[in-house]
Amino acid sequence: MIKKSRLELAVGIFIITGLAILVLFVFFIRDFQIIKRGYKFNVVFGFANGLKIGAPARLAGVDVGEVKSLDIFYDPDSQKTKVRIKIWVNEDAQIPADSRVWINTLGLLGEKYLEVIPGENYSVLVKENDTMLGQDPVAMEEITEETKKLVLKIEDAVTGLNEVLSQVKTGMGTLGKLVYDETIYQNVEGVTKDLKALTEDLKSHPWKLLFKPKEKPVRQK
Amino acid sequence: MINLIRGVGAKIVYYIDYVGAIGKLFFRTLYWMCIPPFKRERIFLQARVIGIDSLPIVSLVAFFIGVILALQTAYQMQKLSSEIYIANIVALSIVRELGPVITSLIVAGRCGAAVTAELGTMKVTEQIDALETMATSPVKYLVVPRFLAFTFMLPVLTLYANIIGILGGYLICVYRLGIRSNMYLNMTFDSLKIKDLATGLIKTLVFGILIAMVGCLEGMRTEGGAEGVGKATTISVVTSFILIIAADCVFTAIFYFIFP
Repeated sequence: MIKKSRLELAVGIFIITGLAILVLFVFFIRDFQIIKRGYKFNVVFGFANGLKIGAPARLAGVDVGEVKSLDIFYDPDSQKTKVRIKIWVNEDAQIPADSRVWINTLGLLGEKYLEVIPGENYSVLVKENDTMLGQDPVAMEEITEETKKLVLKIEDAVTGLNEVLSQVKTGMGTLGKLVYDETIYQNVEGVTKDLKALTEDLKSHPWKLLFKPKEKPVRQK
Repeated sequence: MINLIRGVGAKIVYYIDYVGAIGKLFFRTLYWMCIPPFKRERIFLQARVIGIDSLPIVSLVAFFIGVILALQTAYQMQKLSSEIYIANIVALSIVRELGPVITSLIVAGRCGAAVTAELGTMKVTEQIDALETMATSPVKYLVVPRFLAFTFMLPVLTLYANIIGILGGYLICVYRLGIRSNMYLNMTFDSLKIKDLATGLIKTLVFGILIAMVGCLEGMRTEGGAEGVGKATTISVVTSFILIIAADCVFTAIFYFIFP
């Protein structure tokens, strides 16, 4: 009888520990969207840059929600194809209606997420099913194109500079002469030597400044 | 040529027959499971043999798998200098795939073979026939407790394997690769979803049923003395390994394509 109850005890402990591990897992894995309360709103973009469903939405850099759905529609007013992104956020995330929303890139694999930088006017908050306008991300190709143009311009400038520098090197032009021609230096050196002699002369005979040495009149005989 | 076709045909018929036999045993087991009297003690005995006694070896292997996975991933991830993603890879691989499959393979090798050998010996020494003579269904008396024990112990063992495998990866990453402990745990539990855990556990339920059915079926149709028992045990282990891997493939495909 004792043996039997010990067997059941051992199996019971084993299973209860297993269940405890299960509870631990479930407790630590926090993806209960159903229990958490929140609200949904829409953001309209012209270009989604590869944003996916389930991508996080960050308010002031903190994860507060996620992208629930993406759908493409044709906007007859601006005559453009646009993307409507439905976002779910926590109930306690207060987003002013003048917030700026754009799509940002994160991490090693370039995952996309929705960046929300809160605006100033907290008297008008985003509510359920509101629609905001997002700031379109610049497409990577555009950035590359711009960079290419910039690089070409820099190249032009550098070629011009190179020409000037090579001329200077060979001693052409005023600048070249200034750098490579020694005559100026020699002239200047001569002048400084003369000046030195003059000042030394003045030091020893300061009166020379005050008096004009009288030249003795040459008597004409 | 005729012989070849005949051979292939015989094999195909054999396997279809096998599937039928497993199906029949499964439904008989389900039927007898609901008929009183319920022998609780026998179920607990099998639960101890299959569950508790397998725990040390399952833990050991799961721990090593976690360590190996962390190191192998580190080898690649260090080139990208993104060691922090090791946590995600270890957690997801173990919880979704390696925990369930490794546990099932160990249990199939350890307990499935034992079940076949036990029932096979009983069959060749005519103990099973004796049971039938005493109006006791061998399915009720022998198969049902093992079936229940396999089916319900395997998910529990898998939970242990999951946590110990993650612990193995944790030890390597925190004490060898210098990832902060909190960071590792955060990445681990952020990357996991309830779905990952659930798919892993659903798989093990099916693996448990497969191991129990193959083990009992091979045991109950053993013929030819000691040699027959040995043969039946081998076939049982090989078949359950193949079926586990095949079922895993099917489940992974289902979870990938149908419930993404």
